[in-house]
Amino acid sequence: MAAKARGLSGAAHRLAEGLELPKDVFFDLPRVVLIGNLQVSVENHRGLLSYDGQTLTLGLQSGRLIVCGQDLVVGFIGSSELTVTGRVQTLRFELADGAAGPKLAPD
Amino acid sequence: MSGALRYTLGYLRIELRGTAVARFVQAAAHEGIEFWDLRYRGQAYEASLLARDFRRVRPLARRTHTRVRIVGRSGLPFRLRGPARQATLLGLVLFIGLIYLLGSFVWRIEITGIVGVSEDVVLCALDQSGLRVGQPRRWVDTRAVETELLTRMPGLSWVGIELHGMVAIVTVVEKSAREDLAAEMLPADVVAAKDGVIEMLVVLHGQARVDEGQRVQAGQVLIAGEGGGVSSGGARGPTPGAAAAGAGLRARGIVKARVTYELEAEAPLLRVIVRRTGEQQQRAVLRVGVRDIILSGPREVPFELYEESPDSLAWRGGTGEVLAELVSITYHELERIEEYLGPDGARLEAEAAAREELGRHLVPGAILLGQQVSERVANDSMVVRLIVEAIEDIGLTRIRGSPAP
Repeated sequence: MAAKARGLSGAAHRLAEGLELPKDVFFDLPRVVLIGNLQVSVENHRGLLSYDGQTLTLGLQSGRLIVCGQDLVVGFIGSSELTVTGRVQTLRFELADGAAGPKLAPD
Repeated sequence: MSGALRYTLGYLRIELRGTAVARFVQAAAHEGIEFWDLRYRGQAYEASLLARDFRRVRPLARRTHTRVRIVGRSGLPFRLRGPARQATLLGLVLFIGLIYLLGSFVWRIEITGIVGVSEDVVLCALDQSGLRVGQPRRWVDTRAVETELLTRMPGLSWVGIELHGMVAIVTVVEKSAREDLAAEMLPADVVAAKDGVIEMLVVLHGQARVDEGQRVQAGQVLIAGEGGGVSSGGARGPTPGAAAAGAGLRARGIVKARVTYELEAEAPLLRVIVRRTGEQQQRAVLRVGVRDIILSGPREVPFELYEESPDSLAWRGGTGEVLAELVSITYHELERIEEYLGPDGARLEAEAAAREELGRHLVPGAILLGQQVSERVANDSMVVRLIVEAIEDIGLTRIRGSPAP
């Protein structure tokens, strides 16, 4: 069953690549925009899971996005959009199957 | 939502305490309630939301066991409730009134359609016709201004004025060559524009009054249009072309003549240049009647040598008299520099000036045959004399009865 799902996902990937479709729309993925290390904007998230001044965790369709930094402030939060300002140090994706995604850290 | 809109609607700063603040915020956002500036304050959180959304967050707060407390109120609705309410309202009314008042004046004039006429000339004529910057809109009678402008500027064939808000859009149409067709039908001769010796005479229409090799003077008839009436001698029979043209009265032809120019120009051996140093001072003056009130800037001009460039905005009464005038004067400091050119430098400068003057006299397409340059020193200046011979078209069409060129 899982293999079948992966096969479908692979076909969808190839279709999106072939038709040059925006993947955030096609796969319901979050769109994350990082402006230097001063601001992170996330569209299509699944909710604010936790927040303190140093860490902010957002739910995604397939996992979580963890933003770490100093003096983090939620500039705006709407039903599917969120903007965080402050001094961003790392962005980390934790995928639903438990494997951590790539960790992005500014120098 | 912009900050201005939030301020207009009014917003609250709230404190959030509890163990599931993030869940509360997310639930509220899901309900369409927007939060901004959410900050972590150690034991509690602070966030802002629109005042109108506050009632809707209370059930969510109960459900998520979050304590919500208002810590601040901002925005226009709260400003209007406070003790400064009357002053704020008065200020608002005055502001709106001022905007309305200022909007009832003409603050800019845009001119479109001008080709050969300068914008300043049209603006000056508009001013005299009753349309100027700073005038109340309701005092502008566009029809009257259009009629008056057409009278003042005969070179225009049509004028349209529209008032769009604070801008007056003036569209003008200049008279074209087509409108001069009537003038084309008038009897005319070809006369000499300058003194010279005729080198070539080609009559396209009319009767030649001079011969090749003949010396002519400016204003002398060279080719007469049909219908007679000219007194100059040297008449010959009408050309075949003229006979074919039949009823035409207008002379046409090509007349090339050898013209001699004698020009003199001088340049000082010691040249004095006055130029701006870049230092400047500005003064704003309110002029009411004969009284000047200095609003800003120095009372005395701090420069020994200077030039001024004024700019003014006048408020006029119903009859056009100036009620008050806001004048902004910029004083530019000048410096005087003496430069010794010497005989060679002065000669070059004088010769360049003489050639520039020659360029103004020569007809486009003129052929230069020869030139002679001489120089002499007089009164600490170098005088250059330039004698040039050129062949050029000296024929000038002159309508009979019009003044000589």
